[in-house]
Amino acid sequence: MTMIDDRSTGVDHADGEPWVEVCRVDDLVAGRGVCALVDGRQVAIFLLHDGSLHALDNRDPFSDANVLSRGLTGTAGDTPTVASPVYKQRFDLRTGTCIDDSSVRVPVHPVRAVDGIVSVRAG
Amino acid sequence: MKSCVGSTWCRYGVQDSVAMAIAVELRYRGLRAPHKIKMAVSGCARECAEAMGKDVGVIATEKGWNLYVCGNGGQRPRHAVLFAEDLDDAELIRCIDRFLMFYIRTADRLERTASWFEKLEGGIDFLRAVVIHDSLGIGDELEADMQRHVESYECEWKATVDDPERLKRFVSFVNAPDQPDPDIVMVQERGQVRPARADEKHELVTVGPHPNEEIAVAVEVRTR
Ligand code: SF4
Repeated sequence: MTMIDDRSTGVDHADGEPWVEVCRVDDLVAGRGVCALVDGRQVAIFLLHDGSLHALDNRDPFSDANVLSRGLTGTAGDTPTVASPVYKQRFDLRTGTCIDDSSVRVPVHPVRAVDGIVSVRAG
Repeated sequence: MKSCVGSTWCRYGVQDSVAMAIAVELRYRGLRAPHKIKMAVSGCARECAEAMGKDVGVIATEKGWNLYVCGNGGQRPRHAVLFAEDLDDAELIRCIDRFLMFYIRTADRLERTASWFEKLEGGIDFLRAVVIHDSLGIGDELEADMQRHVESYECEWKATVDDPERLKRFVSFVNAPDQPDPDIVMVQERGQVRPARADEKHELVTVGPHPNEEIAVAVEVRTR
């Protein structure tokens, strides 16, 4: 998770993966996701109502479809989640772990917003 | 909304159930509620529209309409309860306005009218008191709420298609808006397209954009 305009969390080219600018914060709608294409990889990016950004693979492992960015966001207890629009399994937006089947996990990626520009690092 | 063919086409019909069904549908379409709402109008007591299995059921009588509420089908079927008899058109709509708004205000999220009604203290008598006799003094408020809904209704599909800003949300990639998702592969089944299963995908090749470019790249040719 990265708070908007929090510059402390990312260093360019750290861990060998560059930050890739994908859109403006203004392109995002709070409570919803978008999908970005990063080096051929589909990354779902969510802006939540608390201002936090989250990024995970767009692929829903249960339906094998690239749809997580279209999922409904919500919470399970204090955990921010997205529910796949296909079979409705929920994923922890911070870890990618499936709430309904902890043996399944979706890769998560660092995401940040600097000067109103959203970037992700997806290896 | 479901309707039988009513007095227009059926020899048993005592009211124009189709016209009433259309009027009710147009009034409540798009209503935000704790759960889905199913409705039906039957043109006589033979009840071909199965209105007694709906959240709101209307059955024609010689004198007007009988209103049934809180029915359900599905896994836990429940017959709707007779709420009021021989209502005229205006009375019927007023009752449904108040009933639906009272349900919307008091039900839990994802609670259908049938399970809401089962928990309702005082049952049908209480519901009648609130809706017909305005025992809580909120009748005008409930009606005003519904009137606001009716006046503010817009077709969200059409509004979205007409609004370039909203349409932006429907691109596959926020950073490559013109690029379709290359992973979407369609096959034909019963003359319709459906997404290919994993075991089908490797047998298919992309042949170009689907006629409906909004959907995806469609694939119709098998390589073997
Ligand atoms: S409910 Fe009555 S009016 Fe409607 S189709 Fe059946 S018999 Fe005819």
